Amino acid sequence: MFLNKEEELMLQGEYGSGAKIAMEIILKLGDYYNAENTIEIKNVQISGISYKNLGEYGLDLLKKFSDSKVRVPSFLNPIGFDLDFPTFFTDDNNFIKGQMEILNIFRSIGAQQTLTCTPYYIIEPKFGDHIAWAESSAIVYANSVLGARTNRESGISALASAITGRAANYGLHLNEGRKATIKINFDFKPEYFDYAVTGLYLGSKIKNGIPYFQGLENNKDALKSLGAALNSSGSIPMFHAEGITPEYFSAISDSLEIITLSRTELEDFRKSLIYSVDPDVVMLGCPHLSKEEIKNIAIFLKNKKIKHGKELLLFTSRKIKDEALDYINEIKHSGARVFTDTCMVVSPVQEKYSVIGLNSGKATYYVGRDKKIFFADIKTLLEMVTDEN
Amino acid sequence: MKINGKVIFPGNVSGEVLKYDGNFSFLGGVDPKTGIVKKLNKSIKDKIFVFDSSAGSTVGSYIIYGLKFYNNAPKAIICKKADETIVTGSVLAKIVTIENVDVEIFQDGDFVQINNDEITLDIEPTEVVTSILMHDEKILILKRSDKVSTYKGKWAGVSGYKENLPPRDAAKKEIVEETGIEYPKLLKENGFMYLRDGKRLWKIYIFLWEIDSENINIDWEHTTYKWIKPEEIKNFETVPGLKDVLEKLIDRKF
Repeated sequence: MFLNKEEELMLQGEYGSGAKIAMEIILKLGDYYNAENTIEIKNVQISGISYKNLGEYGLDLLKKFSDSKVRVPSFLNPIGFDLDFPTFFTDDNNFIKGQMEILNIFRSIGAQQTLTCTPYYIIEPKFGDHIAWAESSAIVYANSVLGARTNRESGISALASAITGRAANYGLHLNEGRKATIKINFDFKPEYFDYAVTGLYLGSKIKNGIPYFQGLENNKDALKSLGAALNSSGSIPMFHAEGITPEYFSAISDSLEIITLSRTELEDFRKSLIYSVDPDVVMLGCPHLSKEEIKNIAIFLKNKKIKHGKELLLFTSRKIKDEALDYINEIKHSGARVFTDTCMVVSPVQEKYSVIGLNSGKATYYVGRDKKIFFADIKTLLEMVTDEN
Repeated sequence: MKINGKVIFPGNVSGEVLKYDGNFSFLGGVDPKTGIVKKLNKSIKDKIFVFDSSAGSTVGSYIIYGLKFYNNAPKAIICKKADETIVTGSVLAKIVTIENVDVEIFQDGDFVQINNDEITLDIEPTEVVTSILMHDEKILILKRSDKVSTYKGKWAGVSGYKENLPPRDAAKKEIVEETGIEYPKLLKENGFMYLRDGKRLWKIYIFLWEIDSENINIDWEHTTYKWIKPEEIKNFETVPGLKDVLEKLIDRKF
């Protein structure tokens, strides 16, 4: 891969040892994927920053970058607990200490403490923007809903892009890397929750590639949950939704294989994931809730209270929480709890419960590996944990 | 012999092979604190770790670094197909890594030396040819006699040493000797494959031919023969690798 003069200097260590490692990673990935050059990127989303994922050695690794500064706006994924309520999530002081140390390193290199998997609610990338994002659900959203361009970065390669301001130019940065590989349609009209089930089912069925969907509605929250699930059970960094994805019209060729999904097929799949129908807790907000989603939950919870022995936990970003404060207060009034900075996937919170109710395909995939889950639509879940006031 | 691959992280090291058959995910596949590869129940520490291709979450690159952190890292990684996890992990942990290598060559305990893109293994391959003969959608297998030097009593294709001939000529010569057929029609010539069997390493050039009759004349090397459907191969006690040869030649899995 061709490097410009500044990149060569980074590689030689002129910009410090962190920048040297960062440039080495960009170069090796570029060579591996036969990239010809690097490109400038607008911003970065760094994943894998929970102490639950990183541990002692991840922390040691991050320290190698501590002499660096980010060159572009760089956002952080959720961490292992809500900064205001750490002990709700863990009673392990080493966990809290390790997590704060990780955050301090990121603060010192200039990353913004956004602590959300929904960076697009903070700065919405524009059509055609090149970015380097490492949160799997945000990658799909950026590529598919917004038409920005990012590969499926890892936490480390995204950090390397933050420090160098560059990404290797291959894959989804190029037009030819964004073509659909399979066509999907439905023999029924999918509703909000069907998007999550479809994503989880299809990801495990096709594993890789870029699906082209017909018959989806332009509901951004539903598309968010579809993408999050697709890129969990599969390695699917992008989909095209006909009439919605900005470049959908140039995505398909005649020779594509077609899969038609039926309601019974999806419902059978959903039932196959369920081990209990009596959740003691319902967790919503994977990916983090949007303002619209919070509003709808608030409307449902009006004049209701959380049942004795049940809990309802919501997860969102600090920014959205601030913007939706009135709704948040109504939600809290019911007895539900609203957390920021973390979620059910990256925190140890799941350990406290026996059966967890989820409406997210992504959370079902990850939480379901260790816990019993009940995977259902949001209305069913809310009705299970609430009473009329 | 010397084997060349594509370097991901360069270096010069030598050591003993730990072989993992199939795809390997560092996340979940190995414990960085102990270095134990779960499925093998053996330590990866200071070994030349050989596996097929990399699978699984990108968090795996942290695990590779974790192995280094806890002083349990392998000396080198050799695989057929790497991915971004291996690329990033090997750069971070500075572990010599080479991909695009025929990993069938290696087995546990082999001593190998790596100098950048060149891997030296202390064993020389024996070059042989193997032909599958087809007639009317059936394939010919022959039972090796007691008079041959290897794999006595096992079912095989038409095979023999390549000696100094071009592979296709060697294959034709064996067909004439072992079946009496003078003019087989070549359907497919599919390069070579390696087969490791204990201390032996075979480099097998493989061919698919069609003949126009079921009637053949075997020589002293075989005691009997059969025409079978390709999928029946799994019911016979064959020389090692015959099923793989067949699968490669007719593009089907049994």
